[in-house]
Amino acid sequence: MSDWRVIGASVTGTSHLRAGRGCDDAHAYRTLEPDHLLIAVADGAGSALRSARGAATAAQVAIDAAGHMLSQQVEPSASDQWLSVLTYILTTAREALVLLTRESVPVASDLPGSASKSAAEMSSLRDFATTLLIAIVTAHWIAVAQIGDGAVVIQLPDGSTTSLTPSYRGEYINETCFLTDAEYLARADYTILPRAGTQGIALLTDGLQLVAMNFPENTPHQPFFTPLFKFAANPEAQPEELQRFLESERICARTDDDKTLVLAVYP
Amino acid sequence: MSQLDDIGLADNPDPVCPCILLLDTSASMSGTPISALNDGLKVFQQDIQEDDLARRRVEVAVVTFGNGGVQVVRQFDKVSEFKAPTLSSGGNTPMGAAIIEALNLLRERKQALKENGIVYYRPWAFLITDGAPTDNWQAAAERVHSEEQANGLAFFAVGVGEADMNILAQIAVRGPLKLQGLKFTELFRWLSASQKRVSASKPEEKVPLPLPEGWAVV
Repeated sequence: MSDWRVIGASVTGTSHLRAGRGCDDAHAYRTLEPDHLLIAVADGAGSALRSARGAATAAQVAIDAAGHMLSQQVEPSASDQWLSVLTYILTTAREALVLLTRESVPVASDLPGSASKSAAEMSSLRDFATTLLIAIVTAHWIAVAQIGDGAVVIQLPDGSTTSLTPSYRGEYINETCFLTDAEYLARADYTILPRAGTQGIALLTDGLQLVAMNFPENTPHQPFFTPLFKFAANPEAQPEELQRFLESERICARTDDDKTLVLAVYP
Repeated sequence: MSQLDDIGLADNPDPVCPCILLLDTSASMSGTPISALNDGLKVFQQDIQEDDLARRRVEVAVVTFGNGGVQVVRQFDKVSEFKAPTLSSGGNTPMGAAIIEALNLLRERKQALKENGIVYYRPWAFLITDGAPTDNWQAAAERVHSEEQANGLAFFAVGVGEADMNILAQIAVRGPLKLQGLKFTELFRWLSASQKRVSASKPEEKVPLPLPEGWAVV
């Protein structure tokens, strides 16, 4: 039984609530013997009809694929081996979205007011567009793959935090890439580094970036993460508390997007 | 008492959503058209200022062409401070020059934002005309095309009344729309709703704008 304490929440943004749609964010996590930690977060594209399903599927399949690789094989001991593992996870998650397009059931799309697809109509891959961030932490390594926006932040033994996410590169803050893009592997960012005493890790979707990170460098805002990691370390912490925080007035005043935050601490 | 009461939020400046209005105030707009346009602008102000996030993020500039030639009626500034101008009509239609002016304003604004470390959304340009350009418009069209190609902005055009839709189609790669009658109010409500959508998180290439039914001829 792993010692990692993990806590996470995905909440619907006020803009989605106003439009009568649900949450397009999703997250999944798992701990494995002996001390492996797997976390995935995904943010479905606002314009995609079935992106909530896309995000949920991508996150879950990524965790399953990661878990499968780690339990079936010797833990990677070099960067290039981790790169293969990460690539496999992304490819498998995307494959799962492709399989979704082959369903031929009549479904109402996630967007209110749009017509239901007939049984004969298949969804296109773009309907499931989603970002995907996946982090794997073992005793010796941290391996992260990221397609699209959002952030991965780690906490070092001295309490300081650092981002494993590339700093904001595009010209526009509102354009990102998706797991469903043809060039998804080329557009993925990989970060592989030695564990080196890292004792906390957080993954978030872009709904929180404005309040959790300092722009334009995209560095973690310490006063945001320190109390949150402390909260996560508390064995009595409840996901509902985290949820309430994400839904709070002061957060929603700054951002009306869906928000996801998963925190993990190794005591 | 929750441990989560004391969380510090990063103090980033709001991201900016630049929107530039290019409005025809030529002589043919005299009477009901310009009056309806002015009403539409008031509706835009009212509607967009109701939205917290849009108020903080959207920046509007207004360039007119017609009365007084090309006029920059409003430089880029927060839409929270926007007071709908009362435009009057006259003159011919220097649309080409107005487009160039607008693109230059946009370029300068992006530069200023970059220098101040402020992040922004892909800007919108929104042209409304009831006629045809009386100046050289080809150079302006080329600049719009190359800006669109480089993903530098999203350029929309709406034709009113006797507007030359053919020429508009050569300027705006995104298929110009024709206004039903003088439904400026509906048009500006749509524009406000679209800017609210744009300023709220993440639209992508295929922006799910509210459908332009109700004001566009389809």
